[in-house]
Amino acid sequence: MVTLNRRFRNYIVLAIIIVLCLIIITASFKESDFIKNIKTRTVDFFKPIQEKFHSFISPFTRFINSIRDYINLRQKYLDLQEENSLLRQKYSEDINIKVENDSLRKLLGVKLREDYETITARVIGYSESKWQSEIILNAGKSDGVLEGMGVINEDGLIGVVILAGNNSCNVRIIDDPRSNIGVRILSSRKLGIIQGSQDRKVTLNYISSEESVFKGDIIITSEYGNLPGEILIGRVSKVNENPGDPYKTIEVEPFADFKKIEYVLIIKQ
Amino acid sequence: MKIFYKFLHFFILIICLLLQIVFFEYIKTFSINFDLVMVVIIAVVIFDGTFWGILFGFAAGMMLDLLIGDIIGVSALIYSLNAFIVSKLITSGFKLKYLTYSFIVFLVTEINIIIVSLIRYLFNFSSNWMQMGLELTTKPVLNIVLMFIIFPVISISSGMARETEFGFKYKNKI
Repeated sequence: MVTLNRRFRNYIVLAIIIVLCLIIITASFKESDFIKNIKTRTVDFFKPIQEKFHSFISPFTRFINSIRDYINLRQKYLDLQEENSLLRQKYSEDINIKVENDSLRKLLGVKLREDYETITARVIGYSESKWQSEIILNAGKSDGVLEGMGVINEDGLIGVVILAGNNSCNVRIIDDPRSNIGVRILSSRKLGIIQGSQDRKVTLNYISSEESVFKGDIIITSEYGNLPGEILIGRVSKVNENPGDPYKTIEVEPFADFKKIEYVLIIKQ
Repeated sequence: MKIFYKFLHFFILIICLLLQIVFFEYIKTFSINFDLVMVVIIAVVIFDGTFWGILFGFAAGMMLDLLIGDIIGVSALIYSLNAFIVSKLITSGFKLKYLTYSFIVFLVTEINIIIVSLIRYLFNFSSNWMQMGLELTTKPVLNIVLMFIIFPVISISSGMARETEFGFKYKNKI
């Protein structure tokens, strides 16, 4: 009798939970403020514990990274050697262009682009699956972080803040399948949109098949989106043309290594 | 005393949840895919009973969704279902031994991946079949490895003697 009651109780609890979950899922899909509030409060509540956990775990993550770096060391050395020789060739050319640019700016009275203000933050959590690629940072509204702000590190763009709590925030990385960012090709100044995918490939879309895009072209943010313009994103790694398709399929290799992010800068707009 | 053990297990679950967020989610970027929370919930069902498994599954899933999830409620639903599936597997005649625990973890992980993909598919997310195939192959094996760490912790914290742990005495809890 006791076992029967217990079994019956389990069915009732499961049924209640299923109904409750379906209601929550629907509310979450409708992006209700209530759910968003709870989410923000939960992230804030766990922030101090998460920070402590992260500082405890970070030596392990650093160790994993160092193993990976060591394995890739030879290939990286060869790549850097190649890049160095290319940069040396470009250096003298760029100095001449800079001198010419400065004198022309002076002549026309055009000011240099102003640098943006930033907030430094530390990664305290990760969320990685086929459908999402996010990080949690230890800075929030109390530090001036707002939803929609861009997140960068020394290599380039990391992602965009999608949820800002009081003391922490969630950032959607650019390889997340739901990420869409307006960009420019540096050399041709053409506009496009970069999107992530489930296999973590970043693709540049809406570039006409008539445009010439080359492997190695640099991609930067466009000034027309929420983010400031001219932030480095990555380099074109593959260009494909599909017959009958009006757009090219372009793969972009981001400059930032998302597996190694520890400290970031949030751009205040 | 029994309620103390439940609190203790909930505390272990919270620690594992935080470990999942700060470490196991990070190593997923290297295609090493563990689900620590799911393994703890399976252990809770086996050592504490279905009722607690379902409740803990819901609580842990909700927290995980609220902290790092994109659709709130999906993990809560899946972990609760996982707890129920484990209880059904045990009552259908699985002996409580480590070999069958491994099989339960393997089976529940596979079911979990399929349910998650199905829910995402129903909510209009596209599915990458190659990735899913890889996950179906590697994740259960890695979860079984975790099981050998988590299960003894939960069984010791249940105040359970070794002979009971390997026997059938706890079957009436399910």
